[in-house]
Amino acid sequence: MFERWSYFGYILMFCLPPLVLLWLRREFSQRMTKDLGRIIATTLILTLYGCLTWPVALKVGAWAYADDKLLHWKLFGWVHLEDALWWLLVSFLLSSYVSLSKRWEDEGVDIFLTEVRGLVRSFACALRGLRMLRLERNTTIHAAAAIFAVIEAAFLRVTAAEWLALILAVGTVLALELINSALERIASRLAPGQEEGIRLMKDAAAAGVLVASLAAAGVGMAVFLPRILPALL
Amino acid sequence: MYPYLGFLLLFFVLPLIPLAWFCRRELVRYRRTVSWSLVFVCAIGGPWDWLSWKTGVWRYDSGRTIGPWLQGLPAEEFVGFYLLGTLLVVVVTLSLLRGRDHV
Repeated sequence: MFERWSYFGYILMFCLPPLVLLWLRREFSQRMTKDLGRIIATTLILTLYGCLTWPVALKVGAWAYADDKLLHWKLFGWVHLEDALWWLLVSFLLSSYVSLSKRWEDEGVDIFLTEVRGLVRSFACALRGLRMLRLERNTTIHAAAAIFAVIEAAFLRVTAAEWLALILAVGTVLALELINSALERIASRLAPGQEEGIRLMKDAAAAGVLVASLAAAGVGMAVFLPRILPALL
Repeated sequence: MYPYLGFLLLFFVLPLIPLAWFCRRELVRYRRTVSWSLVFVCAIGGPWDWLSWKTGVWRYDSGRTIGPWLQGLPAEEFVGFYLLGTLLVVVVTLSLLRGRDHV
């Protein structure tokens, strides 16, 4: 996929996102920072161990790499750079997780299950929020227009790039419409009267939806008209 | 005969035995951490391993592995890297985290 950078690229692709998940969250990083010295020590010990042993595996033929998928940069003429990076990132990732999970377990919390439950709850709330699509006139109009665009695109067999543009346009309009509806309800609850500042805020949110809708209409015309017009004229 | 198996026995199993014995209490006490680490490694490592094999980054000699095979990967890969590799990282981390201050 990435030619000579394949092995290197996969390491970054699969290790960096979970590392970001672990270290970007403040409540996680605060806990892990307390063990940072030990995490680094674990990482260095295991990386050194891996760097010493993996070339042995290659020499005895436990597995083999494709020549055109590696950078062929060897550290000390012994270990592939990618193998060293693999050990460095994998052991740092796993020891970070073990340190974090151990601290939570000391507090009687299963952090993995807690996170999974929290994620499921968030999805459930978001799905419940889709009910808003049925509650207001404008949201139902936009939902109907979205369904129309998707069906038309399917029958007209639009290209992948056109699908991309349509999905982005439709998704943006529906997302902004939902946010606008939520903002309107919050504003009406907080300031039921016709307060000037609140009215301006609601108008601005509605204008955002209008701009996105006009852009989506433009995308729809650019995609559909060249296919429909020749049949009509 | 089976170089992958030999490599695993020598460089994964052999160091694991004393290390696992050394922190056996932690392994039992933090069994949830250990279990979720294995799940975590399988969830990320599985697709990574399969993609690497599928795109030809690494390959295995079928005549020199004990098998059985699953999606192009030999049994040694699952037992060795997913199970033993994870346990190796976990026990080294738990060993070094022994006796830390619970601040």
